[in-house]
Amino acid sequence: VPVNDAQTLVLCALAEGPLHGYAINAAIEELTGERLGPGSLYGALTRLEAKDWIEPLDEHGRQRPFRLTAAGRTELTAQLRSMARVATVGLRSLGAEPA
Amino acid sequence: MSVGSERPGSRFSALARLYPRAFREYWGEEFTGAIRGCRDAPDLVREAVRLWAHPALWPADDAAQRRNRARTAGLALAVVSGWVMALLTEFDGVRSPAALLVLVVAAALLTPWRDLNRLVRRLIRPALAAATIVVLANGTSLDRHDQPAAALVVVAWWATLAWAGVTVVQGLGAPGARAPAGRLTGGLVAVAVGGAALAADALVHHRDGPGLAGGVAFAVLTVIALTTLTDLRLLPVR
Repeated sequence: VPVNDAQTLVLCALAEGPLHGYAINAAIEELTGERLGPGSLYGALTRLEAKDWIEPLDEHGRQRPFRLTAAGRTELTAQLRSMARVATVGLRSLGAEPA
Repeated sequence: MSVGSERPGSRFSALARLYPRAFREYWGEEFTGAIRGCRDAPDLVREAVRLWAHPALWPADDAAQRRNRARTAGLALAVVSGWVMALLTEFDGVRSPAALLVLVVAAALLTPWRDLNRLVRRLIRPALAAATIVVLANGTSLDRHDQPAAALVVVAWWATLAWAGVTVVQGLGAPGARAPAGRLTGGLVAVAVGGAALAADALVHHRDGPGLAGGVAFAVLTVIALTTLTDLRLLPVR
């Protein structure tokens, strides 16, 4: 199942534990150097929740924390392995050192 | 609140209104509070357009509500396609009876027939309005050479048809109605096939003016039907 970049980034941010929207974006900024726009962030959260790849926890104030589900963890693992294979082959073809 | 103390993104939080109500109600202030200003505008508009094309993915209580949304979306697409087709036939001579038949089949598959009584009750007012317009148009009180009055009657007629269409979709999309998987998939496929046929016909044979606009509209409606079908396959059954 294809996952676009925003959804993959959100899954990655949640891999270490439950976070709410603002904290997810802060983790994404730390990872990529850029924040997602609010439309992309909450659109991705909406799609991921619809697919049961993330689930909400009890709200803290106006923030709604999320955590990965088992299906989300499986999907993220498959996605990252696929990306790692592509990166390994691409870097080898370029004669570059692995990241 | 003074202008100086206004939060930077608050003026642009109005862009949240572009989003489906289910999305806005679910995310509430967490979403609007994340809007930082004009730099978020392109992202907000782009994602709003994407979300409208994926009604089955909007926040929902359970899978049944998602299927019901998909069914309502399919029905709305069939009704809008029929409405645009009728407009094109009236003003541009576009006719495609086979595609229209497919859309009728789609609407029949997507209609929750058990709720028909509720639908009939909701249609009373648009039907009365349509009857009034017909009486006005055919009655002696309207001067056929009175151009503004005649134009007003035409606009009122098409607006009433649109009102009836919205009423149909609202009435049949109410929570609680069940959407059997087979009929839902069949209906959405029929909407996509009918819409694609209408788009092809309008874009190939009527490339200018209303025909072109109608062709683009049919193409967009077809894409939404296809994305809804794809989304239903991705959703867990629960």
